[in-house]
Amino acid sequence: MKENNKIEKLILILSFVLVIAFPYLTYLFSINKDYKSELSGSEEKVELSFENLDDYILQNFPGRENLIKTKNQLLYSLFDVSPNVNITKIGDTLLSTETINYYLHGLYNVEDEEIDSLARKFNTFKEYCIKNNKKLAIILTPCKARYYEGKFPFVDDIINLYDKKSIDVDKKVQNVEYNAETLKKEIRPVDKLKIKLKEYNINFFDSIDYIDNHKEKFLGGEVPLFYNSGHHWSIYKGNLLGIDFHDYLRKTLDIKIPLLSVKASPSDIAIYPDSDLFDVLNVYEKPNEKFYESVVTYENYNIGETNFLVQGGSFLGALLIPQITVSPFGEVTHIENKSMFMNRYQDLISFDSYDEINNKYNLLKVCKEADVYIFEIHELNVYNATFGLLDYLIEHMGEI
Amino acid sequence: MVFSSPIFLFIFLPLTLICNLLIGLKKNIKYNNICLLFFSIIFYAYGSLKFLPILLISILINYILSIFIDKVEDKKIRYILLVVTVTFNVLLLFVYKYLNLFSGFILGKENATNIILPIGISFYTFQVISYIVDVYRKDVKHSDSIIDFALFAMLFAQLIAGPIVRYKTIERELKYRTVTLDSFSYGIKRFMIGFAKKIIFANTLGKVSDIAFANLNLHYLGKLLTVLVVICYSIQIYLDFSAYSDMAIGIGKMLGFNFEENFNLPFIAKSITEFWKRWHISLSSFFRDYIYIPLGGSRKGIVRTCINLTIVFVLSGFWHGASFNFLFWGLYNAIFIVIERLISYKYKIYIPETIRVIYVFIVWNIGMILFRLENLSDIKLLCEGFINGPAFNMWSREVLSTIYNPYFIIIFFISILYITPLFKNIQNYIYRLKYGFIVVDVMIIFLFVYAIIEMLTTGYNPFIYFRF
Repeated sequence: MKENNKIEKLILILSFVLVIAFPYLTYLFSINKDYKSELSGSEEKVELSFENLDDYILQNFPGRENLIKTKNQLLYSLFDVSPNVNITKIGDTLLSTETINYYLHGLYNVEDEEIDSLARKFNTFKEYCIKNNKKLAIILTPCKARYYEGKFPFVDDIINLYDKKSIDVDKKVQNVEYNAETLKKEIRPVDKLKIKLKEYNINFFDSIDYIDNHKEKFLGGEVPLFYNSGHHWSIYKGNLLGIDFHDYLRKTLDIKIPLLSVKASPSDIAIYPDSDLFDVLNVYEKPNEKFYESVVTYENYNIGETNFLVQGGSFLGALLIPQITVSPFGEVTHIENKSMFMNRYQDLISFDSYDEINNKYNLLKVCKEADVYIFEIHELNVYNATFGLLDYLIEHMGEI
Repeated sequence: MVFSSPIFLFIFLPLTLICNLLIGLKKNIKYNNICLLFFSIIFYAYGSLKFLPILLISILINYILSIFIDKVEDKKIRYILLVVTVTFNVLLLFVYKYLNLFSGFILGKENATNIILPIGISFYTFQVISYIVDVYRKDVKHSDSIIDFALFAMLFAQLIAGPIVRYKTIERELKYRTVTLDSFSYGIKRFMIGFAKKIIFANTLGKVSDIAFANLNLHYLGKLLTVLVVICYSIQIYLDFSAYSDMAIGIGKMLGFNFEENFNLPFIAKSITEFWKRWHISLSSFFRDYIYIPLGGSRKGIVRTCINLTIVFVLSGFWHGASFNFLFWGLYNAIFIVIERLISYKYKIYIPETIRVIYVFIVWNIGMILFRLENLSDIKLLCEGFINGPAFNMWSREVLSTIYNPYFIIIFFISILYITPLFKNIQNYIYRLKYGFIVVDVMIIFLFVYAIIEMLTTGYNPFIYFRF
C-alpha cells in the first residue's frame, strides 16, 4: 500500500513535470517547427519584449492553433454551440450576436438629433458636389438578421412565454405594451435615417426596400442572399444587386459604368466573404453548404474614365463588383474602417488618421480627383455612424 | 505576474522549483531563502517594477523598527515604537490605496491624486503589521535575518492574493524546512486543483457576470437573469479567491512552507457570523486578533460588542477596495452579524439548518451586488431591472447567449456542487475505492491540462485582486 502511494505520487509529479515541460520538449524535438498559423481572425502578432513576454508566450505556444481548433471543434460538435461568443448559432444559421441585438432593438438606439446631424452632413456634402460637378451616392445595406427573423428563439417564444406586456424597463415605465408584433413593426434607426435623408432631398439607394420589392430575384433561387455561414450577403446575390445599383448610378446620377452581367457557378469552396462567420469559428470542419461563385461578363469598357472614392465594407464591395473596379475605366479608392485600398485594389494601407494618410499618400489629391463619392451605411451601424471620411471631406471642402 | 499566466506556469514556476531544489541539495537554508527572495523580487517586479522600491523600503523600515520593539525594555518606548511602526504601515496603505478616494471625494473629482494602487499592498501591509504586533506582544522574537523577514513579507506564493500569513506560522520554516515526496506531490495536486478551479470554473462564471454587470446591460437583465448573474458572480469570487489560496498553499508546500487554510466551505455556514469564520480565514483572524480583541471583543457587554463588530466589518469591507461600495458592503455584513448576535443574546430560537444555510446564501449574494457595483446609479439600474423588469428579458442577448449554452450549464452545476460538501464527499468516496486514487489523480491531471488549454486559447483571464 505504501509502495502504491509512493508510485502514485511519483506519477503525479512526473505528469506535472511533463505538462510544464511540454513547450520545451516540443522545441527540443522540433515538433511543430514549421507550423504555420491557420487561424482566421487571429490577434495581432505580439513582438517579443519584456512587457509582452506573457502575451508572446501565449501566442507562440507550440501547437496553440491546433489546441484552439480542437477545443472549438469539440464545443461545436458536442454542444452544438458557437465557440465564438460574438457569433450565435441558431439551428444551422450563424449570426453575429451584435446583429441579433440590433435587430431585437435591444441596443443601439440612436437619438433623433444624431440622425439629423448625419443627414445634415450629407446635405452639406451634397451641395458641395452639385457646385463642383461631382456625384454623391449613398447606399443603405441590410443586416442578415432581417432575413432570419423566423429563426430567433427569443422573439416570439420568450415574450409570449414569460411576459407579454413588458419587455423593457423604460417602456414599461412609459406604459407602452410591447409584444412580438409591435416589436417587429417598431421603427429602426435606419428607417429614421431614410426619413431624414428624404427630408433633405438626398438621393440614396435603399437596398433593403429594393430586396423587399424584388423578393423573387434576391430571396428565391438556389443561391441564398445570405449563406448560413456568412455575415455579408453572398457574392453572387451581391453582384446581382450590384447590376441594379449600377443602373441606379447611371440613371439617377448619370455616372458612366460598364454594362455587365453575372451568373452563378457552383464552387467547391466558399468565396470570401460568403462563409466569413464560419471561418472565424476556427474549427476543423468546413461549412456544410453549397457555394457558388459569381461569373461576370462585360459588355463595354470604353466609356471614359470615372474616378471613385468609396467608403464601405464587404456589402459595398460585392455591389461594386471587383471585376469592374479593377478594370481600366478609372481609379477606385476604397476606404474600409482603418484600411485603404488604392491603385485598383493593388495596395492595402492601414492607417490611424486621415491626416496620416494624407501626409503619406496625398489623400486630399485623391479626394479632389474623385468624380463619384459612394458611402455605404449598414443599418447596424447607424448607431455609431461616424463617417470619418465624410467629416474629413467636409472639413477640407475648400481644398478639394 | 499572476499564477494563471503562461509566464508563471512555464517559466517562473519551473525555474524557481529547479533552483530551489538544486540549492536545497546543499542543505543550507540560507541560500534557499536568498534564492526564493530573488525570485519573489522578480515576481513582483515583472508586473509592478515601479512599486518594488515601496515594498522594499517598507520591509527595511519594519525590519529595523521590529528589532527596536523587541529589544527595548521600556514599555512606554516599546509602545511608542509600536504605534509609530503601525502608523507607518497604515499610512502607507492609506496613501497608496485610499488617498485618491478621499481626496477625490473632497475635491469632487475622480482620480484626484492619480496614485496607482501597488499590487498586493493590502496583503503585505497586513502581514507586516501582524508581525510587528506579535513582536510587541512577545509572541514571536524579531527576525534575526533581513532575508528571512523579507521572504516572509514578500514570498511570491502569497504576495499578491494572500493568504495573509502570520510570522509565527512560518517562523520555524524560515530556518528549517524540508520538502518530502508527500509534501511536494500534495503541493502539486493542490496547485493543479487551484489552477483548474480558477481557469475552468471561476473564469467561465466570471465571463457571464462581467457581461451582465457591464453598465449597458444592467437594467436589461430582468428578474431571473439578475438572480442567476449575481449567483454566478458570488460563486466566481469564491472559486477564484479560494483557487488562489489553493495555488498559494500548493506552491508553499512545493517549497517547504505550510500555510494555513483560507477557506472552509463557507456556503454551508448557518449564519453570517459562521460564514466569516469560513471565508478568507486569514483576514478574518487578522481582524479578530489585531482589532476586535484589542477593542475589547465581547468582554465589555453586548452594546460594546456590537460596536466592535461593526468597526471590524466596516474596516474589513474597506480593506477589499478603495471605493465606498466596499465600505457599505462591510456595513451590510456588520448589520447581519450584529442582528445575529443580538438575537442569540436574547433568544434561543430553533431554525432548521437548511433554512439557515439558504438565509446565508441569500444575504451573501445580495451583498455581492454591493461588492461588485461601485456606483449607486448602477445598483439602482440593477434593482429597477429586477423589480420592474420581466421574468426573462430577451434584451440581454449577450448574457443569454453565454448562459444558453450546455458548456456553461455543466460548469455552473459543477460549481454549485463544488461549494457544497458533496463534492468532497464524492472525492473521498472514490479515494476509498481500490485504485480510486488513480481515478482522482487522472481527473485532476485532466482538468489541469484542460485548464492550460483554456488559458492558452481564451483571452479571458481576469485578475480580480488588483483592487485589494
